[in-house]
Amino acid sequence: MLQIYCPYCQELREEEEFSPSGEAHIARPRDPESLSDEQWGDYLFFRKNPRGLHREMWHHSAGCRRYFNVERDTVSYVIARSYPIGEDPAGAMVEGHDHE
Amino acid sequence: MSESAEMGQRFAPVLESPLHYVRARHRNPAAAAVTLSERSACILLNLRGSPENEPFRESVRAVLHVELPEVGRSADSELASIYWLGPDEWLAVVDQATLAEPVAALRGAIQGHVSIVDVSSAQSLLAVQGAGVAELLQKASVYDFHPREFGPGRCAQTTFAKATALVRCVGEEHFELIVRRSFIDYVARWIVDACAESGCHISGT
Ligand SMILES: [Zn+2]
Repeated sequence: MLQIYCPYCQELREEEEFSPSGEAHIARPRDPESLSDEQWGDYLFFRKNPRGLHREMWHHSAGCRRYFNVERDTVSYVIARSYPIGEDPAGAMVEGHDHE
Repeated sequence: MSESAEMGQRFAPVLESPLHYVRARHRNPAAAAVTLSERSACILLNLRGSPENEPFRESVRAVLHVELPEVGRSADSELASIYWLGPDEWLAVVDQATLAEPVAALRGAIQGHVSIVDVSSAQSLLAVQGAGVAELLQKASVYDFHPREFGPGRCAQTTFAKATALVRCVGEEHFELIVRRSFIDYVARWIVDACAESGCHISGT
């Protein structure tokens, strides 16, 4: 079992409290109607699925019920860190996520 | 008698405790290591707003006489208990006898981008007390409720049996569980089963 740090509850919790929600930092296209079917299909269905470092979303479903991001190694399962939604991997806030 | 009056009589609504069907068979006050009781007649409110919204914090303080607690903590006043649920979400438990219309009072006091929702009928509050409580919590949940980490004033939402609960430490060997009402019968039966060796008493009428 993994122990996952929830950046909102600010403690390590058992994996059983969480549900995985796939790759993080997939930006919804601002103007979907201008995309080709291929571009829209890429956005909806295609994921990187890397071997090694993976940035993914988890949902603290039995806890605070918030989504957050996790950096996990898909080979060793080691979690490097967790950080809130709205933060980019470098730790800066992403445009349009100012919580207002 | 008219048809509607007859229907009214036959289906006269009765407020039934969610422990109704399990309580009568588990009365054992003398030999029980765990006592389970239900706190009725309280109003549960879901409060949402930004923790940086000072007028929001101020209004809660003015109406409920208690500060919005920090991460993983609960706070009490003579009017209400407030539990931290998320970065912008709290649960307030108000005793109906001391403050009858908390929703109206809060809505009257709070301006701006907040949400106040009465969730009383969705959730119920149970108390578990006694020498067997620590063992019961270990069986029920993946969370570590050891007093070294989880003393009075702490609260956490986590798994409980195959349901979920908001658990709060009230004092030594005394915890509160806030569980969805439709899960109460299941959770109570699960607790009785988990306490089979030590004995469980369900109090109340
Ligand atoms: Zn959390």
